[in-house]
Amino acid sequence: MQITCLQCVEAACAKVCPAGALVRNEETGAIEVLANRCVGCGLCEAACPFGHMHFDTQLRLAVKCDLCGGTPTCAAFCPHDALEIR
Amino acid sequence: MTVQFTIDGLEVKAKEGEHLLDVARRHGIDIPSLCHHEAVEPIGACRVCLVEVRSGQKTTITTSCNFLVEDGIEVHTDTAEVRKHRAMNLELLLARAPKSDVVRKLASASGVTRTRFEPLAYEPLPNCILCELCVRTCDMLGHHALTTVGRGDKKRIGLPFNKPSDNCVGCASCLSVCPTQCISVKDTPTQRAIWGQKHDFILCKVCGAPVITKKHRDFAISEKGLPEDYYDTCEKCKQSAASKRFASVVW
Ligand code: SF4
Ligand code: SF4
Repeated sequence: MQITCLQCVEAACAKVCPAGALVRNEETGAIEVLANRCVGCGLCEAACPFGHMHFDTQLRLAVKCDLCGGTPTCAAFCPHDALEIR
Repeated sequence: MTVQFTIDGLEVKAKEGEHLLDVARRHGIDIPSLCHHEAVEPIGACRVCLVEVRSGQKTTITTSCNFLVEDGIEVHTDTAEVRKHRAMNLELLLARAPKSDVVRKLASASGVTRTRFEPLAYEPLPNCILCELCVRTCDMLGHHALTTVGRGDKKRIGLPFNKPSDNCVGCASCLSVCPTQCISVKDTPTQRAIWGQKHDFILCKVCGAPVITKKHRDFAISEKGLPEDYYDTCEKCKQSAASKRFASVVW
């Protein structure tokens, strides 16, 4: 079964980030990467208990699901309506 | 307290104590820079982010990254003076980092395609512009592994006394933030080589893939008070374990 970022209430990624680069967007509820603050240390990727924090080795930045700003493309795209946003 | 001023004619508001570059970018005004990073204090090292600030009768050319905003100032980001000084600074930077794409692109945007200055590039950091962003970031992270060595033309970035350092944890954040990406990091499946030292990776307890270096884990665990086994599984193995766990709950 495919799962994606759970936007945890007590997010491990945000807890370990030493640069304050992972913050919750209060509008969408998503934890977002502030790319201008990320120093590319990789601690968040290693910390996420569900394996949903990623490190872009080209950009040397953390990347993660940000719920596409509130309208997740994955949910709209799924042909079987197996994903929905509530 | 709020301060009010103009940037290129646009009325802007900012908090006292904010830096000009941050305020400009927040308002969608692009000022180029190389050594600015929001996670660390600005030091105006690369001198690319120059602007003209008019205050009463006085006009100054200054770096915007470390300029504290003031009420009533008039800021211009693209005057002939700004362009002239920025072009000169980029020509100097080009002598230090002749092979850096980022520097070359910025320079050519300022009309600089070659440099009249003697090449200043040095090994093992051939494109280093001495901006100290690596040093500032390493300090902010609490490792304090890097420093500047020597002075003037002989100034270099490295480990103190060029000797192996216990402080470096091999996190490679210094490379991540380096504007010219000139720091050498070589990873094998079990080790990372950086700053002349080798660091063992923790290997995923399921598949053996590298996670982070042991020293980085030890630092993070003691810093944040995390359990000992916090970093023992790789991203992919945690993903598949989580998928299985969720599936067993749903069905
Ligand atoms: S190694 Fe990179 S970040 Fe460090 S001083 Fe040189 S250019 Fe700046
Ligand atoms: S790899 Fe070493 S020198 Fe570079 S930021 Fe991490 S601790 Fe500092």
